[in-house]
Amino acid sequence: MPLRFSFTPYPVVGMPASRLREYVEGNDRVTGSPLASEIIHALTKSLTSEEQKPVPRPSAAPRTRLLEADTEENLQRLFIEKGWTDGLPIVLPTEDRVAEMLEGTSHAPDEIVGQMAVAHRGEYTSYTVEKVAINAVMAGARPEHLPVILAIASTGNPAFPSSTTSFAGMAIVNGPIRGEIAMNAGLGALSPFNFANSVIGRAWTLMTINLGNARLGDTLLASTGHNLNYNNMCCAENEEASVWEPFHAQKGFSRDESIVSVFRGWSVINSMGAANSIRPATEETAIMLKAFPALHSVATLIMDPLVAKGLKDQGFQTKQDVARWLSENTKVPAGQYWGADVIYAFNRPLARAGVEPYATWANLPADTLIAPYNDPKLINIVVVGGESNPLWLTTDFRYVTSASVDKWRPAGRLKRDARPIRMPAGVACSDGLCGIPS
Amino acid sequence: MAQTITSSRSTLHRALQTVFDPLGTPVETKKYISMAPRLDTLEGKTIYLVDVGFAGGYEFLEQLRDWFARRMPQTRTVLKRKPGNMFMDSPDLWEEIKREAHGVIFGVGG
Repeated sequence: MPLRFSFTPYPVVGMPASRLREYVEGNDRVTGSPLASEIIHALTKSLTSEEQKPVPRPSAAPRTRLLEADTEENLQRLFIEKGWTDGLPIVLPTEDRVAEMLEGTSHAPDEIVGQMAVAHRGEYTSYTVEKVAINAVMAGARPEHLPVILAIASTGNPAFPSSTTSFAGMAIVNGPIRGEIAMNAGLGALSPFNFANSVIGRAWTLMTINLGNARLGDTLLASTGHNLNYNNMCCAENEEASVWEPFHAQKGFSRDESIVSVFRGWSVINSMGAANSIRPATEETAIMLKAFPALHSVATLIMDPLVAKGLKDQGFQTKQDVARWLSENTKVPAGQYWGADVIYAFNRPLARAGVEPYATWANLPADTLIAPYNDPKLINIVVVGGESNPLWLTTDFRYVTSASVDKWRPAGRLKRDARPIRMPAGVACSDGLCGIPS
Repeated sequence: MAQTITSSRSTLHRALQTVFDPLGTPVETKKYISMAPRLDTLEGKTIYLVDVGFAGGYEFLEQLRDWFARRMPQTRTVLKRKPGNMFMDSPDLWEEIKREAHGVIFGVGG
């Protein structure tokens, strides 16, 4: 739908009144014409015929299912130059490969899986099982991975929605599927040493690009971008080593169900150097959480099983116990809280409308301590890691939703290669020597 | 042997392949709305300046309001903060604008 825009110089946020006045009296950043004139023009110039009778953009025109035949070299170039990849070589989605991939589910190729758009309330694209399979092939996945990839696709959530703030995503898998496709929940689970973690995470990225219509500078305006966008922290929870309830069970699913949960945020802090000995992990985490603006009061901890065991020994019987402690004990001065631009943007309007606790917090002296993570249900813990050190990651990630993997399985058994591809398993120090000569 | 490898590689590169289009299907927009008719002039008109909530937007619109007061005093401006945050609907304000204003300028960034 057409709209008339005028563009100020940038940035606007944080500029003194004198600079903003210069903006108003200066030129439109795009057209170079006086900004005020552009604004008046937008309000007074007669409508064009398209503005009176808008028509769909050319991008909405039907596309062919298959591309024109070409050589592998040319097609690899085409996919990269069209912006259909993450910049790395892909596996070309040939008819044979996509047909094989589709054996990974019992669902019909033409079944609609969902809709996605990287731009909030933007122009959505819909996609079928076949489209998901195409992107799965491109990511290097095998049919055994397709149920997890379809489950992610079914959420309709892009891995990195469009925001100038540069979002990152995370996908955590729970349940039996983890072992069936040999996902890594242990040593180095978030590092590039596991085939399933790698290709599933990459498939989410490619789906975001191709099914969520991520076009840099058009629909996607992430200013710095985010390196996590390559793989989206895709891994499994280490249910076997965890002393606590698995994440999907916390969300009401049976432990026997296979579930993928997606998260969204920006920032990750490694607890490197803080091993739950001198200062308890809870106190250390509270220090880290103070570095975030506490937008939406959310946080997610990715915790090595050793940390979970240590916390349980300290009396935290459940993940919820930890979340409650953090909610009550992570405190920042009210002035620090309201000084964050995102808090100003999202929560000041709520304070003005009398919504609590923001209305109360807004009237406190700047040095009064508040507990901005005020809802422990919004603090998540996922146990991941190989127990080589009691460390953890503190993130500002928000839990978005979960989806069934089992729904997308093929009838009968998981479609597995005769000799499934597996990277070397991360078995640390299996002989007790850790490679050190005796 | 080296010649054989070169030959097979060239053959591979020349072989044609048919591949799928990876893009999703744009969802058809059910309803396209025409823009409101433009004004002949801003003189004697009421223009709302609405900040949607991104940091800095309100302060910019304050300067725009002052510009109208200096340069186009015959135009009445009303500066408003949109209730809720930038992703929330504000039907009461939309109704007020329809009722009270001849035009509106939204500040949609920060």
